Amino acid sequence: MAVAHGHDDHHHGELHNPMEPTRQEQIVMNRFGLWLFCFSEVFLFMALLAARFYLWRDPVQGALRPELEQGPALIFTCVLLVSSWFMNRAEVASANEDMKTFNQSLAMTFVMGLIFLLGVIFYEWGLGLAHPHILPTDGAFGAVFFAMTGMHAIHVITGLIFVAIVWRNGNLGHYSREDHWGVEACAIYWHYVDLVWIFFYPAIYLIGIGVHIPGH
Amino acid sequence: MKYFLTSALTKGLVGQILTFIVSYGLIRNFRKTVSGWEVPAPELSGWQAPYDEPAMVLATIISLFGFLLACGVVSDWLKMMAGQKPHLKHGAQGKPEWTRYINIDVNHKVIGIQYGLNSIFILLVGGLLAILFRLELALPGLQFLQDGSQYNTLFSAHGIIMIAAIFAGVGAMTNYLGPVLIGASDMSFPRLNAFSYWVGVPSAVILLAGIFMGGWDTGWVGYPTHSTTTQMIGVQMFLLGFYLNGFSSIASGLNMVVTAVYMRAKGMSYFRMPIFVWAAVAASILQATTTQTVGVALTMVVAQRTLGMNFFTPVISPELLAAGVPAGDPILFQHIFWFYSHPAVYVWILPGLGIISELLPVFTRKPLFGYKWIALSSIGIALVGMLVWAHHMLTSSMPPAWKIPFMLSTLLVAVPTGVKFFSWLATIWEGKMRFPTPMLFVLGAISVFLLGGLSGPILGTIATDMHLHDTYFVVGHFHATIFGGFVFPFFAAIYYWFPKITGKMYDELLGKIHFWIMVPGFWVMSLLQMRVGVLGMRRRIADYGSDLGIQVEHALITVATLAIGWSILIMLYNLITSARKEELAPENPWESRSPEFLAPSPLPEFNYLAPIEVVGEPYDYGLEGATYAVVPTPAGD
Amino acid sequence: MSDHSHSEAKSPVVDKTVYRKGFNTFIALAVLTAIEYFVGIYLPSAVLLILLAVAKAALVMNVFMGITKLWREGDHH
Repeated sequence: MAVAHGHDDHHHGELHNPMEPTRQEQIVMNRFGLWLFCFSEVFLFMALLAARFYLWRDPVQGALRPELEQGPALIFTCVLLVSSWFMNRAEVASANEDMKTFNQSLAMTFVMGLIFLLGVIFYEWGLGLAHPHILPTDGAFGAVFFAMTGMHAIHVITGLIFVAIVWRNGNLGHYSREDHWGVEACAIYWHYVDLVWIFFYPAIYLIGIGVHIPGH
Repeated sequence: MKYFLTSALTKGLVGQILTFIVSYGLIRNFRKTVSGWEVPAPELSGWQAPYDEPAMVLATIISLFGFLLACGVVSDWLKMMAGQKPHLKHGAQGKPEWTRYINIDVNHKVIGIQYGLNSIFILLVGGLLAILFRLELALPGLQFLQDGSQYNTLFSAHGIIMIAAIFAGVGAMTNYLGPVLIGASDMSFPRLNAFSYWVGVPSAVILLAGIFMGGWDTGWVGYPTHSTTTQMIGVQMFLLGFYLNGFSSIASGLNMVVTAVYMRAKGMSYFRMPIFVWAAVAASILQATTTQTVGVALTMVVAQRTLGMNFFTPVISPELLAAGVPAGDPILFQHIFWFYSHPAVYVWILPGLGIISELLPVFTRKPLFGYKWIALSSIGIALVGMLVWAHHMLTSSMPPAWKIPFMLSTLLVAVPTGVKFFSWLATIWEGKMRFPTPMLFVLGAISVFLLGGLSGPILGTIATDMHLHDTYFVVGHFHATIFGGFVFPFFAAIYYWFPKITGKMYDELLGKIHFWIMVPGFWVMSLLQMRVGVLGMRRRIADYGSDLGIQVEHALITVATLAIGWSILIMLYNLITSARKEELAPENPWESRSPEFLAPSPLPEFNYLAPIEVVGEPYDYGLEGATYAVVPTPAGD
Repeated sequence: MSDHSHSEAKSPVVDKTVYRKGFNTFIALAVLTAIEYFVGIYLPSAVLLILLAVAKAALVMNVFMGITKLWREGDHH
């Protein structure tokens, strides 16, 4: 079951693809691929939202939600929003080879993202708190709350790693006005993570009748 | 041997096993010694687990990374992260040609063959399991199995392993044929393509390991609350293996869509694409989207077992109940699970139906009837297929008002499927038919798929489903659709493109023998399965009463299964011996107009020596002066 | 976005409009979030909250993620 014989093999081990896409063509495909990936992930988050609306309900009262502290949730949401704005600044800066703004903005994106992540893990999840607000074992509330925030947190962590890598490569001078696909990809991904939270925040904290979880 | 031991496959497997053992040991000791951070134990009373289940789960997940890092499929990406710009490595890197198939290779044809070999290997394993439990079922009473749970592991493993095999087979067809048929040199994302294949290997290992690490008795669907409470902890390996396989589906699905959108040859508009590409794109859209939801469902079961998160058990503590905190609901799992798993069967059959439409015009020497309708019917099946999932739950406690729309949408699937059938009939009509092995398998596929298709609406209708749900009628229906929609077209594709892939011709006589054993064997098996189902045989049961009067049928089903098994061994013998022949196959043995026959066989590294150009319609067989694709001027040589 | 720049590379003066566009979007998103919060607390309407979320999502996809690039720079055929 051979693929290629004879013709062009065994020269210097280097084969050249006559139909190889140019860098610009590859970027166009990359962009479409990344958007398709985002679209694919929509189904993941839709499934979690479906679980939320399916389980957090009462036959009579309709939609329910666990009673959680509103203040910190709003603050973390705003922090993520600010990080999104800095990401946009960083992307515009790299498109204009304005490395100083790029550097500062991306660092701020990272810091803001980290604050969001730590806020979710240590405050909302209550790791490190003596009396957590909610536990994974608290019926469907705990299960779906940790599933939604946990799945989002995994994406935040991936995004933070992505931001860190792009920050380093940007400072090594790998991006130019013509080719800053790495930054653009990072920006699309990071905004996507923010986009998911735009739907998760009201779904978890605002929609439905608040129910107090006993024992916390 | 030296090449084998240093191959990516060996490295990956060693890496996977080592990381599993090391991380399992570490996590287990960590959990034993550190009592400060208490990991909630699964809520199973009075059960002594042979393994530390949470440690097993975590170690299994880590072992995937062990495989991927050790085999080196992600090393180019790691280099990019470190700021380097590695370029694609083409060719065998100075090693013998066969080593490409056990090493990381970005060429889509190599990956297609890898998928194919993987598919056939897993198919044999799954088939062997089926033969084992068919032997058990040949007579009433327990023959050689110790108890029901062994039987349960066998059929559960058969289900999921065959699914992995089918996905690999779909991957083989779309990867090998997709870029070639659209006149491209490779997929849009060659590295991602390699990743899609290689992530499937450790998942298959995990699935197979589940049989030996406790087994599981949940069937391939893994419904809670059974899957969340069963003491056979191989269920975790099943859930994780299934889940990780999903990465392969998602990545290859979106790769194929991007490839079809951007890599088409000059002049190939969407409605001049080969019909198989339409089917592959429709299947890829489903793969890239719905797979995510089953991932959620499986993760939830794993989380409920390992972390005690209550998604699916309708019982909670009295304290939470009094406060109005909702409990879990097992029906939720069924919704999320079938939202993927119903479209999944369309992922398997759409490429197969595409192969039927692709090959029929070649062997009837006539244009494909209603090209546009067939192309759009693939997309139609994919879209309607996303709206029918709850027909698997017609006997569940889902509100009755939901059942009727799902029944109607299910019956609606028959419309685009009917479009395909009538197009095939019209293509055959007054054709100048030829009957080499691939054509026989195409016709066999149509006949068997008709059987599966006609038994479908019976199950999709609420009134009849009430009686037939969970009987062997379902088993018969399902196998007919999958054999007709995937297995027969897959074999047709293998025989058809065998001279293209290897440059040699298969043995026509052995191919025909394969066909004439397999098709009658399958008809006997499937029809009798439906019959015993109507007579009251439940599925997923190791035994049946001799007073049911279905002993003869069961014995015959077993004989038919064995016949199918032997016929597949004949095919493998045929393929292996033919590939080693000296004699070369003719350039275009089928007189096909398809562009891949413009290129030499086996195909060169980048498929075409120069970019091809499409100048006409793809299936104008028998029309004088019609051309589909041309090579402008061959470069060099 | 590079369409806005005139000729020379490193001239940050030109890009003020693009930065400004991002900032305005950010402010709009912040205002929508505030409205969302008050709707959620004082006027709990699921439909309104979902509409607000959709509006925010549309802004993010349009401006921050540049979805229009898919068809503006997309087809090379």
